[in-house]
Amino acid sequence: MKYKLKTNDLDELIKLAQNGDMEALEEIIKRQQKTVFATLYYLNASNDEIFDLTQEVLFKVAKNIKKLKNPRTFKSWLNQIIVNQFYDSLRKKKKNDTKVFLDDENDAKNKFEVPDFASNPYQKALDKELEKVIKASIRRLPSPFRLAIVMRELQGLSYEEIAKITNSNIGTVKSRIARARLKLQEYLKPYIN
Amino acid sequence: MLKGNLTCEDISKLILPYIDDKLSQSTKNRVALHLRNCPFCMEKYRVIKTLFESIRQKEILRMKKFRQFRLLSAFCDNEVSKDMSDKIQGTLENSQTLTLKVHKIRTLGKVLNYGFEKTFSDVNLSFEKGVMTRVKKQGLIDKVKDFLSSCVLSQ
Repeated sequence: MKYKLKTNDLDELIKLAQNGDMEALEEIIKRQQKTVFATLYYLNASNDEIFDLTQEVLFKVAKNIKKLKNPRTFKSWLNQIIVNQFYDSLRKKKKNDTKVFLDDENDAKNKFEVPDFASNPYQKALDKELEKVIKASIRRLPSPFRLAIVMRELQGLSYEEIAKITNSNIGTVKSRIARARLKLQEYLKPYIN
Repeated sequence: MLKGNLTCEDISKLILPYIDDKLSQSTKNRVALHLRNCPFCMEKYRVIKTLFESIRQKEILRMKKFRQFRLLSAFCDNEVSKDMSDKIQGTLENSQTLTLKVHKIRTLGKVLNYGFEKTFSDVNLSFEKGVMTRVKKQGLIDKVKDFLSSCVLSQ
């Protein structure tokens, strides 16, 4: 690790970054980029803009880190930025009168390559198929359900945090997550039975 | 087919709000009076009411099932109170159906997380350099702006 301080503690890195330590800030960006990218990917940002959106979110994190009052709420704060950025992009798309959500066929034409990882070719094929099915299933969900389930399963946020981020109440979040699960159980039936 | 003040045609229009109890008391009485005296409308009313009742029952059952699933879903996320959690835990011990539902929710979670991990485990991203360059540039711009505004103020 290039980082000079031997700390793995995110809270500590945040405090350092808030005090102007640029290396700590860089380390935070480095650590968070994958989760930001993954979240936007599953929220169904189009593949064209996913890199731009990730960069924009990370820039906002870096620029506004001093405004974060409690480092313990970082995850929730980060997701608020992701969600705002995502909705901004949807609003811009609507203005331009383009289709908001790509369906799978369109998506397949415009797919960035996800590298292979498993050494066993059979396993590799299975993983690839499963990943494809999961992605397609999540993207089929209506956006409020998709947002809730991605925030819960991918980001591990609490219902209260999701309610705050999506400007709704806990009961609504509970229902959205349950509905998303019912739908996903249906779409992914062969994999979970 | 005229009975009382209402015609059979009137009844056709009023039958749904009558079943839904959306009519004023006086109109309700007039519809009831017509139905008592007109076997044709009464039969129609019975058929529609039975159909509506069965739809309503199905809807109630569907809602009940969903409320149960919603509770189990929140339970799997540790988002229910301690009392409720103990209660569900107790029920699960005696119900295979509910245990299977919980198992499916948890399996779905595992499948999703497996997919998430697989998708991004080997993706190499390096946004940090670009972001830091932008942050530094922004910092410089802010400094220049501050300097210029302080010059304006001192004049």
